[in-house]
Formats: sequence, C-alpha cells, structure tokens
Amino acid sequence: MNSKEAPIPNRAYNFQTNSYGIREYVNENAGITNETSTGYKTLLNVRLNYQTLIADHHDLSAMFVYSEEYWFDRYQMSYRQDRIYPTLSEIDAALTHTQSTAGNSSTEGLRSYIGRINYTGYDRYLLELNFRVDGSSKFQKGHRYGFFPSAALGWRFSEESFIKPYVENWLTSGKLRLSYGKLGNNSGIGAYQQQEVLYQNNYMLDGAIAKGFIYSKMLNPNQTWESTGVFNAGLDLMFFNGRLSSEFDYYDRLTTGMLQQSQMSIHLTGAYEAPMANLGTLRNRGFEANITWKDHVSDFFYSVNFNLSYNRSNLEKWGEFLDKGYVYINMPYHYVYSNPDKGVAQTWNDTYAAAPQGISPGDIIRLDINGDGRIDGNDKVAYTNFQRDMPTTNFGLNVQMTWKGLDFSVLFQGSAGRKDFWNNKYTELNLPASRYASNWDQWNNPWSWENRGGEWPRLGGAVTNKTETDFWLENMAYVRMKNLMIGYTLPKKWTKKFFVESFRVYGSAENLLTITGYKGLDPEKAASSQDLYPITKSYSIGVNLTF
Amino acid sequence: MIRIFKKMSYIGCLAALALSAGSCSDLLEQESTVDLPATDFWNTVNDAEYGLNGMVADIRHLFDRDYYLDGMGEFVRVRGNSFSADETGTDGRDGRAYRGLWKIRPIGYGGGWDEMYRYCYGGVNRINYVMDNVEKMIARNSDASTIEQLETILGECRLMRALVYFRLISWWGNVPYIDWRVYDNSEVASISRTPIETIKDSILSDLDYAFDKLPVKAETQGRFAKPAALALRGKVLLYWASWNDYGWPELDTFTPSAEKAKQAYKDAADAFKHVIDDYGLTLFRNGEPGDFDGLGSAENLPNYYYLFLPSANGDPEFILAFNHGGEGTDQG
Repeated sequence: MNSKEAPIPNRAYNFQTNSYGIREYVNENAGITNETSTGYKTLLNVRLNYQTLIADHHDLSAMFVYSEEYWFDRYQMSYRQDRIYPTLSEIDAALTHTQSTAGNSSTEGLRSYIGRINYTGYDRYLLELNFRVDGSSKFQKGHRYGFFPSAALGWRFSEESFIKPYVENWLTSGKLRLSYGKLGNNSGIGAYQQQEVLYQNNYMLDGAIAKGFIYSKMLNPNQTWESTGVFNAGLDLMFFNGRLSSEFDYYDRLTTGMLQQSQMSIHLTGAYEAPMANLGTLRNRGFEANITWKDHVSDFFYSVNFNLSYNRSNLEKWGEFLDKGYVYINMPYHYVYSNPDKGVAQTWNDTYAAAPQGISPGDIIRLDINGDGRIDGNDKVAYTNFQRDMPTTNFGLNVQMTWKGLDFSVLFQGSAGRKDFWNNKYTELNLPASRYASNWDQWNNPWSWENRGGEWPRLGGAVTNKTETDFWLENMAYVRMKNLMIGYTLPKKWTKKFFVESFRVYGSAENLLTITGYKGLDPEKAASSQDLYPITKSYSIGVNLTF
Repeated sequence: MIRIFKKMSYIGCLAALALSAGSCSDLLEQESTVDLPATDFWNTVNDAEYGLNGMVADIRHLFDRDYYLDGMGEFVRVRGNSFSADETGTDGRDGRAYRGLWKIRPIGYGGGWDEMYRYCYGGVNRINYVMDNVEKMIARNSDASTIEQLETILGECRLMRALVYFRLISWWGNVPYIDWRVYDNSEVASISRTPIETIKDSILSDLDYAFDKLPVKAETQGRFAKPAALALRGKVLLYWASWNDYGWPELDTFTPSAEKAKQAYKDAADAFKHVIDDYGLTLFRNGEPGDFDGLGSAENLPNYYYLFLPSANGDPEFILAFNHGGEGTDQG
C-alpha cells in the first residue's frame, strides 16, 4: 500500500478577504509514505472417512481429520518528507534528510486433531460424538493443547411404534434433540505474549546511544485456552403434513477461563506488566422458538413465520476488581445502572424538599436512595431485567404470499429488554457558544418559567442534568417493518420467446415504519451521544433476469 | 485389482498422515523476530552490559526530575507531561514517578507518592533481574578477565540498588527488602517491612562491594567508578547520623542513638575526605560562574546553564550522574 498526500498543496482560502488563510491542509513539503503488509496462511488437512451399514438398520460413519494451520504477517514502512513534486508517489521521489522506517513480522501455528462418529439407528435414533484437540503456538509448553469434546443425541419419537399410530394424522414428524459441546478460543492472546522476550531500552554512554535491554514480563505459565461449553435441548415438530413446523431450543452457554489482566503487588508493577490469566466465567442462557405455517388455497400460496429469542447473561466469576458500574458479579453483563429521579423541579420548594444537590427550578431532582443526605455514587440502582447494549428479546414475523405471478412479502422485526439513556447531541442543554446547530426542540421543550410543562430540564441548568438518571432512561422496545417487497414475474410462455428463463420486476422498501416509545435517535442502533444519524428508510425497484 | 488399489489408497492415506504428524514439530514453536528471546541472551559480557544499560536507563527516571523537589518544595506546582502520563506500562520517561506532585492539598497528599514507591521497586526488580543473570554467568564462566568484567557490572548493580534503597528508606522508613529475582506475585504479595537499620546495613555492604569492584575511573563515560560508591556511602552515613542525632519522631519503630550518630558522622567525613583528595575530581569549569549578560538578555549564559546540557556529560564534577540524550535520541 502506497500513500501520499493530495497532489496539490492545499491551503485554507478566505472568501471574504480573497486571500489565503493561515491553515495548511497539505503542506508544500508533504511526504511520501510507502507501507507494505504481507500476509499469508497455509492450511493442511488430512481427512479419513469411513462409513458402513450394519444389519440393515444401523448406519455408522466415522471421520478423522488432522489439520495444521500457519499464519505469517509482515509489515514494512518507509517514509520520507519533502517530495520533490506533488504528482510523484514513490519513496525515491523525496528528499533524504528526514526519513524513517519500520518493520516487523509475526508467525503463528495451530495443530488440530479432530474426530467424529455418527450413528443412526432404525431411522429414529441419532448419536454424534466429536472431539477436538487443538494446540497453539501462543501458549507455553505443557499448556498448548486444549481438549474440546461434544456429543449430540436425537430421537425421532414420532416414528416410534408406540407413538406413531396415535399421532400420524396430525403429527408428521417430531424430533427431540440434546447436545453438549465445547470449543476453545485463543484470540485474546498475542502471538508472542507468552514468550520470555526482552524489550529495548537504550541508554546514553559517551555521547552515543548505548543499546540496552529490559525484561518486563511477568509470565503466567498456566495460561491456556479459553473454553466455551454449550448445552442445547431442542424440539422439532412438524404438523399437518408439513404445513405447520416448529422448532424450540433451550441453550446454556458457559464461557470459562476468560482472559483478563490479573492483579499484581505494587512491589512489582513498577517493572513488570501483570500477566493475563484465565479468570472470568460468563453464562448465557436462553431459548429460541421458530414457528412456520405454510399452506395454499388453489393458486394462492402463503407462509407465515414467527421467531423469538430470549437471552440472559450472568457474570459468574471475574478476576479484576469491579467498582460500581454496569458490570458486576452475579449480574447480567452491562445491566442498567441509573439514578432514580423525581422529575423536573417546578418550584423552589421542590428543590428545598429534595436532598441538597445544587439545583434550581427546571433541573432534575435526583433521589437520595440510601438516605444519607448526599447524592453520590451510592444512590444508583441496578435494573437487572434490562441490558444497555443489547436487547434481551428479539422477535420477527415474516409473511410471504404468492398468487399466479405476483409475490408479496413483509418482514417485521422487533426487540425488547433494552433500556438506555437517550440524551444525545440533539438534546444539548448547555448550548455551546459556537459550532452547534440548535433546533426548535431547544426552544419548545426545555422547562422555563413560561413553559412549566416542558419535557426537558431547563437550558443552561445544572451540569448534573446530563448524568445517568431515570429521567433519560427509556425503554428501547420496538417493532419495525423492516422490509416490504412486491414483485411480479412475467408468465414463462411470453419470456421464453425471448430466450429468457424468467423475468421478475419488483419494488421494495426498507425500514418503512417503526412503532416504539423511544425518544432517542433509533432503538436499533447502539446508543451513543455522538451518533446523529438514525437508520435510513430506503426504496428500491429492480429486475431479476435469468437466462 | 480394485481391492489392492483400495488397500494401497488406505495405506497411502495413513502414510501421509504419519508424515505430516511427524514433520513440522516446530509449528508450535514460533519465535519472535523483533523482540529478543531471553534464551538467546545472557551469554557474553556484551549481553551483560546491554542488560546493565537497560536497567540504568530505567533507574534514571526515578531521579531525572528531582528538580521538582528543589528547595524542599513538596508543593511545587508543575506543568508538563507528569500529568498526561498514563498509569499503566513501565516507561518512566514521561515523569510518571513524580505523578504525585500535582495532587496538591494540605491533607493526605502523601498518597500521591505511590508512583515513586512503585517505580522505585520497579528499579529494584530490574536490578535484581540483572544481578541474577550476571551471577549465573559468573558461575558458568572460568575465564578470569571475563569474571572481572562481570563483577564490575555486579558492582554497578549494587551501587544502583544502594541508591534506590537509600531513597526508599529516606522517604518511607521501614520498607520491604527485596534482593532476589521475583518470578511470581505470590512471592511479594504479603511481604512485610524490614527495619530501617537492617536496610541501611545492606546498603552499606552493597556499597563496599561496589567500591571494591568498580574501577578508579570509568572506562566509558557514563559508567560508574569508585568515587561514586564512596560518595554515596558518605551521604548514606551522613543521613543516618542526622536521623540518629535529631531523631525521626514520625517513624515510631526508630530509636535514635547519639553514639551511632557520632560514629556515623566520623565515617561520613572520612569517606568524603577520600573522595575529595584521592581521585583528582574538580568542579565544572573550575566552579567559575562564567561570563553572562545582565537581567533581560540571554545571549551569554552563565556556566550553570551549560552544566545541564548533554555536552556536560562526563565532567569530573559528576560523581554519580545519569546521562540524557537530547534531541532525536528518545531519551529526554
């Protein structure tokens, strides 16, 4: 990759005085940078397969894989200042008085042994056993390998002779599934993090740089793979000859050995970096449901699909010190932690009645939860049913219909279980003196003596009006019509004359309609006070041609 | 025929498997190409010198902003990058050891000196690491001149350790004494304090060893020599004598003793006399103030200004000094 600055020197121009300003965006002596990044990966897979049918009813297959993976990355950069002419872009086209170079490379290796056995009996009983042994060059000898087994059971109970006669009229097929599996993760560790390497730390001797090395790693030799174990129980049911099908799943995912910075004594942290250790445990539990109804009435085909998922996380173990915040032991990860409030103060008496917090009428009254007469970090309350970054529940509804050549589909999607503070740059209460585009909301909404019912606190009010209080906390549950599509396919007998297999014209719209009580920017996006762009609506038309 | 072919293909697969499993046993041994693996290091005297350089470069940062303390001014207000240093990492160049200074308040400002305490022990750990490796090198080596050079390096390490522990006891009294290379946090997690007198004795014995092994005059400018060990010995004895003479009431485990004071004053005076007389040391530019302009103009600056430039490095006035590099060297 080669980069150079713009081909013309660029300076600010003041149109009012018709002269150049002081600011230079691209200098006359802009330089040339040349960066080269090389990377490749090699993969070796050796696989053995075996399959056999025993006694007509027992189907057995086995597989063994040996795999090696190798990554190589190299980076090199050279830079010279003062290019001799703006249109040139290679290093030699710059003066040599100021130049700098850099380069490094890194490698990583992974060796894996994988095995699997599949057994199907009588078309009703399914069993699968897996194991995986992974060894990574990132860890120290003796801790390189991780063993990750998994097992899955399936039972098509609708085929059982003692069930089938009673249900075959309405239950086409039913399957019960159970599985447990484990996988490893080593992505949080650098390629050479576990190696005893010295870093450069130079000194000056006799007027010249003297090479010096220091050792600043406190290695944790026991560091090894993070592992995630998932338990899943599921039920697949199909009714009425496949018209109604449904899948239900319950899962429990436990991630252990999460890598974190461990703590170290003050007598060591002046020289050594604390090692990472496998200290955290996080559990995610939830269920998912997926139900589809498909049917047709002569020429009119339709299908409705509904899916739902719910997830709760729980932080079971954590190695670092956790202060008041939105991460804590035995709580969901990133729960909501906020200061309850009593709304906007309307009169001076309201401010006297509340705990002293330096407010005037028009400011938010924060409640003193622990009764100590002060408003500080101890007055926040945790809401464990809601998360800040992600909803706990997601659901979607998809309806599709076709009739002769017309097709129509609509997708609704929504979520619940997420709350966040919705104040952002649009709701700025302390207007800056420059570079802020205020709007009518800042005239109509803030509280003032003339506007006692104003939604927002007063402009220029207490700084604490912007802190995390329940006043700004909003439920981000929403339902959105994500996609609407109508299309028409020309009859085949016409298009075949032009050698076109199929010709379909369609129109679609995204994000047309949203039902939500959230006052902030967009309930689907990650909340950020700097984000000013909601998700966009879009309309499109198109043509599908198949030859 | 087909059966034989099938058999051969089975055997072929197994052979490929065996080959690939046996080869590339170094797939999981990937060595760094930019940072120096410790297994390749600590072999020659040069390696020991590089280790020493790295260590002295870090200890330098414990003392390089002592001008903040000029005039006993603990309330000196400073601007500059002592504030912006981030709290993690081990690069002391940005003055992070002095970070406590800006927490100026009449009560409870002592806690702000945590960083100096932390980085002093950082220096101690660096010294112990180098000493551990150099001692192992001495044990492995039988060549007399190599051993002599390694012992000189050990002498410099002990001088540095004496210097750092001297700061630790003058500021904090009884402190934990760590003189071994630490491999795990559990070794120091609940270490207890050692009495100040014991540490003072260790400091003096370190300085005696250093005095023994260091050369009379440093071969390379920037390395330490006998006068440094002797002068520091005198200073430690002087402070010890003063504490015993005037007492240290805040340190409640310390009982001052007048005879120890007297003896220490004598020893200190003795050491200083040797430094003054025996080594031919002189002041920078003979102690002359130099030619300088009056107030308001700065074309000609007094000699005191030139004392702080890199060009003054190596002057005989500097008995125990750390070098800095100036522009472009990344070293202050």
